[in-house]
Amino acid sequence: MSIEASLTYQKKFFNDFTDAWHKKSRYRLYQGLDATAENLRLDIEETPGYILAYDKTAQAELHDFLQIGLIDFLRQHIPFFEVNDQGTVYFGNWYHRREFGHINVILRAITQSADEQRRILPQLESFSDDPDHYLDRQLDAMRKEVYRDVDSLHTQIDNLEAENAPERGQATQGNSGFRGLLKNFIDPSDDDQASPSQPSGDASRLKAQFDKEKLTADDIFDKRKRELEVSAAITRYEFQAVMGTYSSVAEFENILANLKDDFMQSLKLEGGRTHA
Amino acid sequence: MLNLNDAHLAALITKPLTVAQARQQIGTAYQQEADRLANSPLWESNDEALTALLASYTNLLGNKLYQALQNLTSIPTPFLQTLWLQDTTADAHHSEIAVIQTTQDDNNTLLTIVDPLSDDAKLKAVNLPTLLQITAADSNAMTYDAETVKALSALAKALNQGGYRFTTVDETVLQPVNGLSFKTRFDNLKPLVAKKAVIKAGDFSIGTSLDKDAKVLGYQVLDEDGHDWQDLGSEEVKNDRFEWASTTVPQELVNHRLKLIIRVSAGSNSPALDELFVIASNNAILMRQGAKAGVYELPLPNQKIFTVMINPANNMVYLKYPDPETQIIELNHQYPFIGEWLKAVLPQKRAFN
Repeated sequence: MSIEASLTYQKKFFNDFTDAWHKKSRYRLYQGLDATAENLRLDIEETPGYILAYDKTAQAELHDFLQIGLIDFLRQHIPFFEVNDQGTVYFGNWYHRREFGHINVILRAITQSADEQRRILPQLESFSDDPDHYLDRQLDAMRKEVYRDVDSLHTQIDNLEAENAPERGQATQGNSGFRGLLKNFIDPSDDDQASPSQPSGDASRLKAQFDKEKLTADDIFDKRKRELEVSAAITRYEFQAVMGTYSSVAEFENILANLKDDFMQSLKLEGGRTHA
Repeated sequence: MLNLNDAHLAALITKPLTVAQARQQIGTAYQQEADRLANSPLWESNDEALTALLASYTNLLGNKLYQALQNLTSIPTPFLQTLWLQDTTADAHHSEIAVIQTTQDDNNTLLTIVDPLSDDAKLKAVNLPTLLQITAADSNAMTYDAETVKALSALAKALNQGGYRFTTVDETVLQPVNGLSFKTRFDNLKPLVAKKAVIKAGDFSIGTSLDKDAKVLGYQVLDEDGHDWQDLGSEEVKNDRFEWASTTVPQELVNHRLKLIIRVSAGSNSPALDELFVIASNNAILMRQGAKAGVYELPLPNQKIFTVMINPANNMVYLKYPDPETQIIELNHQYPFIGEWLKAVLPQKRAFN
């Protein structure tokens, strides 16, 4: 581009941008940002700075003006999102509602910076796969994890008993397994259950350890069970809100992915009405 | 010891009164007479006479309440025919009226009206349906048949209309949901946690939103090895959001996940509320935040809103329901999750209290 052409382009651009600002046309302001990003291969978030000579006050003024529009749009577009005036997006209005993210005015998107926020959609997908068993599956997995050591001790005790079994001959069925072992060390003098002293000592040690770990595991299980229940209840509310508005979680995700396009389309229509 | 020559008192005796009228008018008449004696040097320290005076008026009130109840169409006549009232007076300031149901075998005290002539009179359940009975899996847990339960419910409502109320939530389910309150425990020190990976050295910030009524007691910024980097930056609380930011995050933390742990004192951290939240969610009932902090609303399918309010300052939970007369037993019949919740958090469950 010649100098002349370049200056003409810049002059026209700034005239257009000024006019857009005077007419409070968010659509044309965003168009200006988009065109600048594309032509100068700038990151879109750097364009307000470039256009406004890196003046912080001017950038803040533009940001605040554009923010009002995006917040208004978002509140209508996704009705179950609660967006505060600072642009924080909350999922719903219920007890324990979660922060979904924060709007990025220039990108025209909701950004999720925290892990907790980024977990929301995967949880919704998982809930949507099987709403009736979502919590049960988590509880089962948690139970396995929490009781892993306890179960392993139980197995060790069973194995120890199995080793001793031949020496006891045909142990009665009622005394098989763990219960038989318990009886074994509680009452080692019992002739019928007589077994070498070494396994009996191992058994007491294992049993004591088992009891201790079981108590701890029970405590952890109860506490985490409540956490999972609350967490599942939150996801259930979110799921119900999504399904009350959209046909599926996938459709909701699609809406989120198209937020910028839908927003621009809405601004365009709004502009058309204003200038009609 | 009633002055039957007093035309006003004589009129009270013959005229049919409602429960509220009986309580108010006999209460006033008694108070006038008691004040007169209390201000008399001759009578003021005569406890026996003052006790007799209270006994007479309590007896009169008992008789008038009996009359009022017998005239009520809301209570089935066969049930009314089994009722009788017994008054007792302990001293110059304390009396009671017991409402008793007679059966073939014995007398079953249903409830007592404690200090019925005083402004702070209250009902005390003796043998009335309880939460444990109505929520029990065993259908024999309830000792009354359905008809009797209905009659008892109407009896309690009639007494409520006179301003007589039960004072503890767990004594009977025959009391209005609206206005119930009970103590609960708050997990005031529940930590809030946010995690975020450090992508580059230098600027870094991590934050999380706080409940409106939350107070930050302290926080840590831990790396994966548990080292606290709090001193590298500073915190800011703005618009219900806690944010820690640093401009000097070192290279060694790149690709580490920093964990922000905030200890807050927040009213909403209550096991009893969590319990309600889980139960409501299981029953597809929304538990939404009310306009004010600490107020939660549950819109019921009957278009009415069941409201739960908490006050962490005194560890209390307050319940509200738009129909002032609807009793726990009635709401539970319509929406069993209410009873399920109350049973879980009452009476005096350790996890909740």
